[in-house]
Amino acid sequence: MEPVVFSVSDFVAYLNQTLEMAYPYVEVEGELSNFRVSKNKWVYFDIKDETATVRCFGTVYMLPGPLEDGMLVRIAGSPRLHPLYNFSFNVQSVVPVGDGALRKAADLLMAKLASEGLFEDSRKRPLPFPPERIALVTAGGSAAYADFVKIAAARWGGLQIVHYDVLVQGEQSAGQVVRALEQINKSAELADVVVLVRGGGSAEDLAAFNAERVVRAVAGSRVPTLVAIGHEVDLSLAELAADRRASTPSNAAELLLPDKHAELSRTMASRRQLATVLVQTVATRRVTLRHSREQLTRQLTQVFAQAEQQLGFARSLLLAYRPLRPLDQGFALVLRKGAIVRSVTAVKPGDEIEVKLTDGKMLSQVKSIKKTMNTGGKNVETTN
Amino acid sequence: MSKQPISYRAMQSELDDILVRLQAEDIELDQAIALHDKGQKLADEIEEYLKKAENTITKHRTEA
Repeated sequence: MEPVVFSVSDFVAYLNQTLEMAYPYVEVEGELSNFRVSKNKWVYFDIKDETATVRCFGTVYMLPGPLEDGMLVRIAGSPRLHPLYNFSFNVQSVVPVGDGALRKAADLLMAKLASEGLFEDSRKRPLPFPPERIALVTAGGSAAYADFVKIAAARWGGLQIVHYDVLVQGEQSAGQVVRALEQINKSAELADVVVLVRGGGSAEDLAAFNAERVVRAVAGSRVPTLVAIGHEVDLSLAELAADRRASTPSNAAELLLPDKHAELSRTMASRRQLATVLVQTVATRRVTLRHSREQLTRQLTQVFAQAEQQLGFARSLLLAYRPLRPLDQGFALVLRKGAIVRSVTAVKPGDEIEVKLTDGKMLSQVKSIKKTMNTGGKNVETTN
Repeated sequence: MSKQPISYRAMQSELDDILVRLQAEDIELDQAIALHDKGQKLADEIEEYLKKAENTITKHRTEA
């Protein structure tokens, strides 16, 4: 049998076909070295152990965050023979493994994102209180889901909770969380708040919430975010980037929602205050009415007093101008047959006359008449 | 879907507003009585809401 002779290009193509069939997807764990990023897009590094080294190639989009030589990582992807640059591993994802590497990766990412201001307090927005519509991002059937829903129901009613069911650990977790956040922010009817929760777990279990794209998606959310990951002692970068952090999923529901029993008490207090204020208002109006009544009486009394004073004045004026007042001073009024006698010519001797004084009258008879004549400035009496 | 949480916020805010208006010194008595009655009715509605409203949960499945 004749040996098969390939051209170089055919050999590379044949080998790649074989590799694709044998290792369509493989995961390799080892130490990161010679890590470098080219043109802010391509990533080159080696993965090694004590006796072997494999060259790796990928894009920055698959990185979980900043990485550093010496970190233990697990890469996933497929091996390939490049026509020019020899053998390399085409990397689809890189995940730090082991507590030390995870902590190191989280520290590096934290420093990077902090320098961009992603965790600044000035970026934090207040959460609506109470919210109307909640986008809940967590694993369906998880304790975190059950705790949040249970506490929410105990505290408040009438909520619309839209549940985005995502994996909260494992390789696909970060991608699902990011997609859920994208969908929430593109939704026609925006939620009032995004609640991203997960129960406790190992550092590796919680790794998705320290992944750069998850942290950026939380920080970039148009809808305000509330994040609670793990137990009270755990603190993920997603929590730091959120508008508000809760210590546990139950605590998230407590922070987010008022207690309806407290609201009932508040409403009852408002009800009492309504009644008290109305009673006070009526009492105040009664006092005002009493004052008005008293003022009315005072004014009427004053009007009467003034009228009486005016009457007294008119009375004394009338008295002063009384026609018979001269009689009081000793003058007399002489009448004949009821008519006032103004001249001695109106009577003759023997006539009966009436002489009126201030305290009575006298009936008299004219004995004689003497008329006074004014002659040259002297009065001269003449007898008839 | 129910819009009750919006109603709740609006009702609570209106009740607070009524209390402030009711405490104005120059309020007319007729107006005070009307505000009081309206406030009590709102309090009834708030209490009814708080006692009866339930949460609704819908699923939005995220594609893998």
